[in-house]
Amino acid sequence: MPSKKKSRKILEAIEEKQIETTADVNLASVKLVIFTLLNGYYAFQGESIKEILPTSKINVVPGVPNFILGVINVRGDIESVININDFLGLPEQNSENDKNIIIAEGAGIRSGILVSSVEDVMDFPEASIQPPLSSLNEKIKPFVIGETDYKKKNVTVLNVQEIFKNISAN
Amino acid sequence: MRTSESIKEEEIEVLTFRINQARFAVDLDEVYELIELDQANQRECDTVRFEEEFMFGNISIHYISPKVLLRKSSASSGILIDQVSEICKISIDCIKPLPDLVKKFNRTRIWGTTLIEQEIVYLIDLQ
Repeated sequence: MPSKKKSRKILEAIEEKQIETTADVNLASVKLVIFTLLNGYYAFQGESIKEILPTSKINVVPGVPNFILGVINVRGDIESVININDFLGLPEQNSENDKNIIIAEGAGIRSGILVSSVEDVMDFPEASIQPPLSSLNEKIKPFVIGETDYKKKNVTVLNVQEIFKNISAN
Repeated sequence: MRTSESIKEEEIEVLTFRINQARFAVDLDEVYELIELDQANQRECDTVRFEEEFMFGNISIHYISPKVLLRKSSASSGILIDQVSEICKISIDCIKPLPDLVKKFNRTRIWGTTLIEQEIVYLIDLQ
């Protein structure tokens, strides 16, 4: 009888290979990735965003909660794709119209987030980010850093780390 | 970075099949035999549907070309699988752990993923 399962050994070996050191980066300006979800404008802070992809075929994973839409192949790496609407108190969207997947990292989690479309990536002066309005829904409040304007539209700036933290505490 | 010394093999041989739209693979080392449904009936071995054995939740799956997989660990009970496609070798370097969130919430015995012909394949632990 082997002492350890073979699959366990293989997993340990590949996980060991994947351990990388991540360097802390101090950003002078606030880079925002602006995107839409349903009809609203939102933004993530650039440092948590690793990549922006067009949507591709999402492979369903059996046995996971509904908010995990599945996995995608990104140049040989497998990334999960999630729907964050429910966590933000938004209605479930019709994902057929969604054009982008944002790959984000935070709270020890890396995942893709399905959004309607990414509109822009740009630097904002820190002063332009205002405290959030009190009229926001209760569900989204813990994730909101502040608000800013983009092309005369109100943009809600979200904290990906907090979203991921909340998801993994579920 | 040093690789773990506990695993010496560079590749594993897997049997691949499809359940619904998803493609799965199992390590041939854990497979005793693959038999037809009527053979399984003749041998009077208990057969459990794949999705029930591996806890894929409440989903109903229509099998197109079912076969019965017997495990080395319990050769008297079979697992119903579907659309067996091929046996192939996959390099251990090409096996990826599940993404963080899937690993956290996954209730099944999927332990990793790999790509075969650019298609995502889920590796299932049979034991």
